[in-house]
Amino acid sequence: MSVFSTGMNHRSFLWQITALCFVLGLLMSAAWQTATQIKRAGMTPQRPGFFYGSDFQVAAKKAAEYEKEINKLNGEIAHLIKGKDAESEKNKKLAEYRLFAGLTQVSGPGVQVTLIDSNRHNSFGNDPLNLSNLIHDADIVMVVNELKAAGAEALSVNGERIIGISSIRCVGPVVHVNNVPAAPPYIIQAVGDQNALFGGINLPNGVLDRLRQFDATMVKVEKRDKMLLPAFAGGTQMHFAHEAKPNEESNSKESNSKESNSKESNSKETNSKETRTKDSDTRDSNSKGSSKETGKENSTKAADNREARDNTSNETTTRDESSGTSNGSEGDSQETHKGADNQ
Amino acid sequence: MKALVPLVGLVGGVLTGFALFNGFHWQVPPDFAPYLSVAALAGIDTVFGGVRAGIEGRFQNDIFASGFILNSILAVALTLCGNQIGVDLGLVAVLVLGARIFNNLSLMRRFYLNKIALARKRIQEDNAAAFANIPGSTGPNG
Repeated sequence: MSVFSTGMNHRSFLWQITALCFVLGLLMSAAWQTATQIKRAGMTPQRPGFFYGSDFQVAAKKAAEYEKEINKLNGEIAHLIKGKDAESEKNKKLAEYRLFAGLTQVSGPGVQVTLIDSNRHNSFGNDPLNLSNLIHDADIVMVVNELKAAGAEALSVNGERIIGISSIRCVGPVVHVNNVPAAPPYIIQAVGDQNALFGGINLPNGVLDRLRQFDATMVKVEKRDKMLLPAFAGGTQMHFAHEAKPNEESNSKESNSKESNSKESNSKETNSKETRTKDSDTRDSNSKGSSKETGKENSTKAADNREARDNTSNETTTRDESSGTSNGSEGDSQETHKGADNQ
Repeated sequence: MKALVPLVGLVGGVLTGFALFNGFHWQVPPDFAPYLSVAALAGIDTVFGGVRAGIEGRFQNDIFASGFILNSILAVALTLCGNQIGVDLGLVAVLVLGARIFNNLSLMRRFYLNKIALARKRIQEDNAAAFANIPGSTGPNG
């Protein structure tokens, strides 16, 4: 040590080393930070997505704000619907459609399915595409589909309402529901006939069997007497799809009943509403088989599209089909029949 | 105790770096992480070389500064070049600089060991000359 305190140029030498050490410290801390960040992000340095972490946070904040605004506006809409014109026919129907479309909060009895990743190790190695100890998007899709088939009237996955255009897909390590990331445990709530839903989801050789065989704790199915499902929070604006102009034949059935007391411009709207209302009416009386209902509606429409003179026979086949497929659909077939009578 | 000044500088640099990177959310693009590491290694090499030259009394600040800058540039350039042609030339820099660090450290070690040995020998000789009759008094003074 004594060497540092002797000699002529040691002072400048020490200070220069110190200055360089300072620079070196900066470099090392920079390298350290970068390495830590890479480790934390779990990515190799080549991944460009790594850059955008802060951008994502900003975007998420904005998204949350927009969601709040959407909720607020939805609440206003609900308030307006419930307001002074609550009794008017139009508003009633609007409320029905909103309920059907999933734009309102929904509460009711049903079944809650909880899917959790297993702690057990995978027996097939660590192939990321074949990890059977994890819940995959396909599992959720299958459960949702099965619940729909069992007559669920409203569905949500981790607080995201499932509607007609909902998507459930795998995006890297997470599952996106309606393009919103969801993490396990995945809680799938379905409002509907508890027994039908419970039975449907627990069918032998059903959708949950693979998971249960691997680890029984991955799946939990429980009946709930009251559940609160959120409204669909995504955008509802249509940019490309618009209502098709119905041709005369397809129009004729319901417009005959309405044309006498409604304007020409209105008739198109009322027609579609009419069909939907019927559908939701029967939906109430018939808790089973929402998908069957939709199928019937489709077949009815298909029948409408044909020549008017064929209509009666087509209606008859529709009715036969529907009564064949489900027991509780008599109300619906009567409705359809009435429609045919109106002609 | 003056030997601790560079160490203080190093710690100060690290702390400043952490403050900057954490406090102001500075970020080095992760693509540059390997270059940064190699540059840091060149810095370590230069510091060791400088200390060695200093304790040998052959320290020249122009050699020191230019060595640091050029070594860093060459190391980074090698890594960059290696990235382009698909050969990890960064390893060359790591290997050479690492070897030089060890070499410098060993030279410093030898220098001090020599110094200590010389000092001990001198003391022994002095003692031997001064107290030729009392050989037991030489031991603990080294």
